[in-house]
Amino acid sequence: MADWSQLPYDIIQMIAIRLDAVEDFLAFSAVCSSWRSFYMTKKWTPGPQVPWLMLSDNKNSNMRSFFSLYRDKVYELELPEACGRRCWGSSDGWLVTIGSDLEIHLLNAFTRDQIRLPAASTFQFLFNVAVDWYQLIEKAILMRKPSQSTASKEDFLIVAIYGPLRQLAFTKPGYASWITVEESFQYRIMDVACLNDQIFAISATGTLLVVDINSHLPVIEHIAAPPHEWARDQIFLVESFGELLMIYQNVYVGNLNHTGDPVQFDVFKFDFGAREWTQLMDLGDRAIFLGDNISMSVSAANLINIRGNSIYFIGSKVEHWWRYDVHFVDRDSGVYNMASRIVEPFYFGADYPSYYSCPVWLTPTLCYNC
Amino acid sequence: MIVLNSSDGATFEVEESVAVQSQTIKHMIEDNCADTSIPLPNVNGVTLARVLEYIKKHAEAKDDEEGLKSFDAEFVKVDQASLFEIILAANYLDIKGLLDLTCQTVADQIKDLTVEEVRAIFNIMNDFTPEEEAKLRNDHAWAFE
Repeated sequence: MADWSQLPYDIIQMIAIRLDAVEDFLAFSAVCSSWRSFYMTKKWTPGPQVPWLMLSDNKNSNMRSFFSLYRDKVYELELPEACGRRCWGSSDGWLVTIGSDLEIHLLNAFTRDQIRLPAASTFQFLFNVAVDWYQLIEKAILMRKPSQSTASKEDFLIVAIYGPLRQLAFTKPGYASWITVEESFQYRIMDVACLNDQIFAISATGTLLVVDINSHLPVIEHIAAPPHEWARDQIFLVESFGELLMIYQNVYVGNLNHTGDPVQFDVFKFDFGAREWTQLMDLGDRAIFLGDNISMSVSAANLINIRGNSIYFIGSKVEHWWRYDVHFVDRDSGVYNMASRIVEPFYFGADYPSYYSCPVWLTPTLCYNC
Repeated sequence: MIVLNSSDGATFEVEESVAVQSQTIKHMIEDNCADTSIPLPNVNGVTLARVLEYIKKHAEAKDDEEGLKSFDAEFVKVDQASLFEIILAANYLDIKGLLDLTCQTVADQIKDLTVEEVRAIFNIMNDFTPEEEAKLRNDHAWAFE
């Protein structure tokens, strides 16, 4: 009679490292004491994971709902620290939050650890702006050096796209203020990505820039022109398995000549040799996640419930949220199929977005009782 | 030709070039322990026959990627008890490809299941003390609701 609990440690480890999703790894580790042995070493380092969707702030509760695409389940986590605050997701379990008090924090959704960052009052604006607290930051991106599982706080780098001119600033835990990238106001930055330890930014016109934060004064440099001059509604920059991708999102509402879905995505890959963009018609087995978070790319090859060659997107345009149209027309969220160029809805349960809160993608992490 | 003896006395003949897919057997041959036959006290006859089927196929159809893929897929369609024996044998005989295949098979069986479902499939008893059980659930409460 096979006694699976008697598997040697080497095999337990070999099975465990083939379980990429946090939910699977935890289920495996909870089966019996021998199957828990690898978990106990704290050496689990999974590949890029399918993110969860942190649903909007429900002010009546200290619990926050998270939708797992992989398990098609909603989890409740206690997270009062995120109440009343606008949040941006990351690929690392941490959120960047801002509140009406203009305080900005890193918040780990799983351990509830908080790291205070310089307040929004340290942002430099070219002229006096009158925007509400939840509009101060357009996008906050947490970048973290891939390192050992017990990374120190020095590895955090937070980049913010802020203000009506979409300027760029960065900071690290312990800094007294946000550091503005002076020339960034010329560009209207739409998104930021990190590849090979370099920080790239994309402007509203599709111009690719590289940002050097290590020199005495941060410098922003033009790298490449956009692939074409057509207008676009939204631009994203994604680091995907060692490649730099740019994604244009366009909404063709009311364009009678345009067949297919009103929402369209065009994906471009950057050729560092030729310094130019080429259009990518097929993502292979990759799934991309776009929203109020660092743009993420995951391989759907070994995953069930996740569609490859697709773009999962959640917009933050609140005015679009109030249209709970059965057919999801014009809704600012869905799964875009690169092959058919059609948007399909994906269901994540009841959600109540507000002027400061909408769903964001956040990758779950395992925190060993940090 | 190499002769292999299983734990229950069965004898198998296999070409040396095929047998060395097992690092364990390879080292035994190199260390000159293979004069007459190689004893494998940790593997029974039925399982050894299956393992030999695997390494023979992988030797003869080495370049046929598609063919090997479908062979592998069919190969692991066995009952849980047999799968268990094959994993242990692959580990003992140190056959990387077979170990990867069987571990991936087990991982695929576990995906998208709850703890209780995994225990049922593998017929494993919960042997945690109440404290140990509570610790994991508290550290990751959301996963066990």
